[in-house]
Amino acid sequence: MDFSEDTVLLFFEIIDVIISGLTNGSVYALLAVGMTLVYGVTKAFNFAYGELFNLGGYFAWTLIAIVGFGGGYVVIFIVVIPLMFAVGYGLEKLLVAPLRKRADWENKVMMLTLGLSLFMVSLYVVVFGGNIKSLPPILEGSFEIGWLVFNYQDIMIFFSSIGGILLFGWVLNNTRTGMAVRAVAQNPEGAKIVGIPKERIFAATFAIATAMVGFGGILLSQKYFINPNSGTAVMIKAWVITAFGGMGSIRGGLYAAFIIGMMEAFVGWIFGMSYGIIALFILLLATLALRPRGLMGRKG
Amino acid sequence: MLQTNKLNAFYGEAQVLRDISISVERGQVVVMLGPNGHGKSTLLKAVCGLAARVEGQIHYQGEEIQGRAAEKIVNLGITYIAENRELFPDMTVLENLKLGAYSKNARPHEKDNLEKVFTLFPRLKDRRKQYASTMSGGEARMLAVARGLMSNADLMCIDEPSLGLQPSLRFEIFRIIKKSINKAKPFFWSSKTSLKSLNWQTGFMSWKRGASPLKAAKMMP
Repeated sequence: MDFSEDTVLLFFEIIDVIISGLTNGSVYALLAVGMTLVYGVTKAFNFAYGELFNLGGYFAWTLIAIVGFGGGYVVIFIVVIPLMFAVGYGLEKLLVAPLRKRADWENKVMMLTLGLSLFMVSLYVVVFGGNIKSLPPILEGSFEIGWLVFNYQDIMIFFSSIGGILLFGWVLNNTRTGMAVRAVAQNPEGAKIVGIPKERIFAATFAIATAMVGFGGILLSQKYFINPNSGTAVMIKAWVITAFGGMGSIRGGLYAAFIIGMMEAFVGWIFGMSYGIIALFILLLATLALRPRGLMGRKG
Repeated sequence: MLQTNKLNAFYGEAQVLRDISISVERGQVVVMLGPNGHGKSTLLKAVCGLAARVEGQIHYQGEEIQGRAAEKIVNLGITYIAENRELFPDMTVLENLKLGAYSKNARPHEKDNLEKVFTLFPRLKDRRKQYASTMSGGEARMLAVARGLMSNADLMCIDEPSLGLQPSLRFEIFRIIKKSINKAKPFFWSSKTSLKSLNWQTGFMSWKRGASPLKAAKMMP
C-alpha cells in the first residue's frame, strides 16, 4: 500500500494528540481521586486543595533550592509525601474536626477551607515571594519513534500518575483502613454499626488525599511552574473533573479525568489550545443538565 | 449482663422511650413484641450507641456504657443488626463480612468466624464475590445477620430479623440464629410476630407505646 506524506503526517499527529490526552488524563486522574474521595467520605468540600497541591511543589523546591537536596527525586518523594500526609492529618484534626461537632458543618468546612486557601496564598507570597519557582526536571532527554518525539519527563509523569492511582486503589481495596474509608463513604450508618471510628477515618481520608495531591504537586511543578496563585487553576480543574465524574465516585472521577484529558487534547489540536477550557465547561454544563449528579454520581 | 435504668430517648422533641428498665441475662433470648412506632428499635439502638439522644443508664457487665461512641460499644462485644440491613452496597459479600470483624474484639477471630458463618450460610459462601447491592432481599438479610455474627459479640441486638421475608426464609434465618447461640450468647431482639413456635428458652416482653412497664421477662421452658 502506498500512503501520501500528508496521510502519514496526519496519522502521527493523531497519535501525538492521543498520547498527550492520555498524559493529561493521568495527571487529572491523580488530582481528582483525592478530591472525590474526601467528598465521598465526609460530604464536605476542600477548597484549599489547590494550595495543598502547591505545598507539595514548594516543599520539594525548598528541599532542592534551600536545603540543597541533590539526592534526586526518590528521596524527595520519600520525604515530602509523608510530610504531606502529616499536614493533611494535622489540618483535619486541628481545623476541620472541631467544626464537625456543629450543625451544618459541611458548609462550615467549605468556608473554613476557602479561608485556609486565601491564607495559604498569602503565606506563600510572604515565605516564597511572588515569583515563579521551577523545579529541575526529574528526567531529561527524549527519544523518537518515526515522527513522534517522546520526552522522558512526560513518560515519567504518566507512569508516576498511574502508579500513584494504582497504589491509592490498592490501599483502598486491600488495607483495613482503606476498606473502612470505603465503608464510611458507602454507608455511614453501616460503618458505625460495625464499629468503624468515623473521626479517625475522616482524618485518614483527608491525610491520604493531601498526600495524593502533594505528590501531584511535585510531579507537575517540575514540568510547569509554581507561584502562589497557581493552585487555583488546579483546584478548578480538579473540581470540574470531580463534578463531571460524579461527586464522591472514584471510578467516575477516573473516567472523567481521561475523557476530559482526551477532549482537551483534541479540541486544542482542532481549534487551538485556548478553546480547551471553553469546551471543558460546555461539557460540564451539558453533563450536569442531563445528569445532575455527574457520570457516576450516587444520589444522597 | 445488660441492664437499663430509667432510659429515655428522644427524636427531636418527641420522646420515644420513657423510663425503660429492663435486663437481659447470659443465656437468654429476649424478644420484644409490639407494633410499629413503639420504640423497640430505639431501645436496641440506644443500647448500641446509635440513637440520637438518650438519657438514663445502661449497664453492661457492670460498666456504665450510656453515651459512649458506637465503636467503643462494639469493642465491648455488643453488636447491632439493623432492620434495614445497612450493608455496604458497592462491596462484595466477603468484604462486607470482613468489615463485620472490624472491631478490635473481633479481629483476631476473623478467620474462624468467617468459616463459621460460611457453614451457617452456605449460600453466602457461593456468592462471596457478588456485590451486596445485587442481592435479593432475603440474601441481603442473611448477609446482615452474618456480618453481625462476624463481630464476635457476646450480646447480639437484632432488629426485626424476619422483616419482609417469605416464611421459608424467615424460618431459615431463625434456625441459623438458633444454631449460632453457642457459648450461651444472649440475644435481644425486636419483632412484630410471635415466635412461640420456636420453643426456645426465650423471655418475651410485651411492648406498649411510650412508657412501657418492662419487667424482666419470664423464661419460657
